[in-house]
Amino acid sequence: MKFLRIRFLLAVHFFALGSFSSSGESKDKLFYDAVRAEASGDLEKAIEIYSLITEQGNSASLHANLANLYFKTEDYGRSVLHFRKAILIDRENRDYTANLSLIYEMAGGIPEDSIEIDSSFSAHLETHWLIALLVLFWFGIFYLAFTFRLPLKNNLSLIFVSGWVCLCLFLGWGFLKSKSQSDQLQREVIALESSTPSDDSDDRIALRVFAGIGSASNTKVAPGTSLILDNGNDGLPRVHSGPAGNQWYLVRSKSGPNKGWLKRSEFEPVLDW
Amino acid sequence: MSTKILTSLIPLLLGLASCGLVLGQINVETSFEPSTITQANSSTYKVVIHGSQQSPSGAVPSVDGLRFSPQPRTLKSASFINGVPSIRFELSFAVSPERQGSFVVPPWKMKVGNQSYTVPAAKLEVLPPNQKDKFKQAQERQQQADLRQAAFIEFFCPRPFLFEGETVQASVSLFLWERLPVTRIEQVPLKNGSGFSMTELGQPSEERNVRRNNKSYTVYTWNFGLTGALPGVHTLSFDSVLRIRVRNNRNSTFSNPFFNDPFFGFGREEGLKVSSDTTNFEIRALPLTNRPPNYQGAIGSLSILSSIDRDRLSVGDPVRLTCKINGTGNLAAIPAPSLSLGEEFKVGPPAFSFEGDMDTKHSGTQTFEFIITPLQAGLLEIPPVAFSFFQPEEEKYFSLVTDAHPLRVDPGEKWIAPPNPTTDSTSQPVRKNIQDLFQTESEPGEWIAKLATTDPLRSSTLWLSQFILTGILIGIIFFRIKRLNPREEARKQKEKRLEIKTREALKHKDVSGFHRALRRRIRLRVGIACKHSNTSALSSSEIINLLHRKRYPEDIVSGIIELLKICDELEYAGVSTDVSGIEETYQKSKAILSKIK
Repeated sequence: MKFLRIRFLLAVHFFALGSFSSSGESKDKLFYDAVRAEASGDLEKAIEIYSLITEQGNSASLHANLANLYFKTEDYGRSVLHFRKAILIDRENRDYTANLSLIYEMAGGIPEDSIEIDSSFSAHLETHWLIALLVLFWFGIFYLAFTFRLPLKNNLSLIFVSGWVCLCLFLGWGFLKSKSQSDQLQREVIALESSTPSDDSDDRIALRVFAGIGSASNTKVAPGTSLILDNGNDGLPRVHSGPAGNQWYLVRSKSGPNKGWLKRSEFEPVLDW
Repeated sequence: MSTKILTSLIPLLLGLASCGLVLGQINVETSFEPSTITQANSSTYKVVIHGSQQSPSGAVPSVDGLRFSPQPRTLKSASFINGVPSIRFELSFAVSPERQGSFVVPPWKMKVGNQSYTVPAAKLEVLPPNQKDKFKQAQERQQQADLRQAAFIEFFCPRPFLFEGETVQASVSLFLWERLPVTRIEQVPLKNGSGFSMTELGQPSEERNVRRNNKSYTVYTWNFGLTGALPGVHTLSFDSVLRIRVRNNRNSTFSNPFFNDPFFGFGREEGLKVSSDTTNFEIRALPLTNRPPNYQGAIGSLSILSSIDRDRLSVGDPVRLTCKINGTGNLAAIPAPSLSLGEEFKVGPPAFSFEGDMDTKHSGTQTFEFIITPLQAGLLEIPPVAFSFFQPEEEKYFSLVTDAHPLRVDPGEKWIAPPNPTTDSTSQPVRKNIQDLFQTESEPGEWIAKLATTDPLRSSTLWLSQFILTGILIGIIFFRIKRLNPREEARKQKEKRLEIKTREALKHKDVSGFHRALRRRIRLRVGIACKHSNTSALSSSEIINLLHRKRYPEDIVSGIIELLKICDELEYAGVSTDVSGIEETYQKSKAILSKIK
């Protein structure tokens, strides 16, 4: 009985491993198929395959290639979106950053605040700030717990305590700033294309006064513009469902007063929801 | 009354004289005072103009063998001689003889106002120096020699001669006798002599207690780079100026030598010029024989290395070629080696940097950095860099060549320049042919399941670790609070105070105080060890009983008994001066008390 149970467990284990590796292989296989399609000049096919892969997983190369393809087909909004994703995965790749800057330059009309400047308070450094804060905080707490005696007899103790408090405050401030960047990144979306056909050649996307197709626009943004979802009192994005089942989100520009309702099909989030 | 008249008349006379009024006939007299001197002394050539106080004009004739001071001292005076008013003007020239003999200042013309007058001849007899003069001269020479020993400059150059353009690390040392009251070095040593160039003198190194001439000196040494500039034999010396504190010339108002003594901060400051010996130094021209055609002036013991920052690149990408010339020599003066790269490359002007001895720039590494851009694709080669230098010790030219650097230059991607951004915000972006703009990644790279940020505050590991750390902290605080028994603390403090008191008594040989403190300390220690509530009320017998009850070893108990006995005897024995045993008692008590816990 015991032997049978072990065999069963081993079988389950190998099945899990096999399915996992076959999933990885299929993604790789699809990726190579897409590369071949692109090389043969079938850009639509390549985009289709890459998009299929994005439903299964993400990689910097995948998003960069997809961004390239969208750029070649002059879909700047999606190109920006996928370069942003590629940069989020591989921050060290300077080619991606340079390409993204070039897209912003060539697309025109995208405000400068859409370009993320990698700073010491970036979202990906949130954990680093927190760890540094906690290490310093606990180090000081334990040090004081072992050595603290009232009254503080010498200036050295006073300086140590003041320095420790100041450093903790600084690291706490850094963490909060980084966390705010992280929160913003989670709510960041890229405007892709307008869902309403326009007579003129203006392909900009309208941020509407009310959540409805017929509503007038507050302002218009170029495809590829970064926007931030507006949160309600419950801390979740403000959503309105239209009678036809369309979902509308209230968005605002990264800096500045531009604000309005955007249809779900008109944007894509930078991070996976 | 007559004094009052005189005092009112003299200003009147002087006033009249200064207005140019001549009170009678002008008469000019000359004399040497004294008229006979020895060669070591000096005399005064005096010209007296009677009857005028106007400044005369004229020139004293030069006399071979006599030196006249350039500026005379002048004196105007007015007096009554036998009731007759008299005014006069005196000119006094200090005269020093250069040799012995008889000297005559011939008659010469001078002008007083508009009138010309003849100044009569005057005679000075200069005798050979006597014994006193010789002694004085010897004393002066000795003083000069002493002064030279008190502060002097030494110059050091490692080579007996230099080649034109050669740089060596030389040094100049300022020796200051430690008893010389130097307040500051006003001027660092300055070079005298053309034909050389030198780097700026930086901060000197200081060395104390250097023995020289049976004296102790403080030596300040400056290292610098000395470069031969002009061929030929040139003199080279160094001068420096010190500020030293010397005695006042005049006596102080308190008539006390203390107030003149520079040692006590009095006296006055004076400049003292210090000079080095003058050295004749040869600068030779570089030999023309066997001079390589690419020689550019490098002199020293040098080596060259070259490197590139990458060996695979695309057409138009820059590659950095770094040439490092290392060693000792005229590194600051070496020009960049010339590159002959042909048509395949474009090369920009080099960037210079120096690492090494920044004061002398004589030893270190001179780096030249070239930015080279390949202009065509293929397997190219950056040719070797040739470099020649002259070795001054061996007096030979050497030529070095670096390695060639192969480069693989790819054709690169086709670039289509983006359109110029327009200022009109309403205009549409310009569409361009954008094929082949980006490089497609051919490998998928590392897969990640979901693109999302991790919120560290939602990590269970974080909160678990915080929970554990908080638990540990509470434990520590609890442990510390538990240990904070105020009674125990007070007892410990009291014991510490008693120990200090015992040591103090021992130090001051206070026998009764020592035994009193020791007894109290024993009582307290035993009380703490045996957990007795009121230690101050313990008698000797109670202490012993407590120790027995706590089953301390017999040697400790007997030791305590002995100590208590000594304390009892000496504490109440009145004033005792027997201090011989208390040190021994203290050591013994220390050993025993440390065992009672």
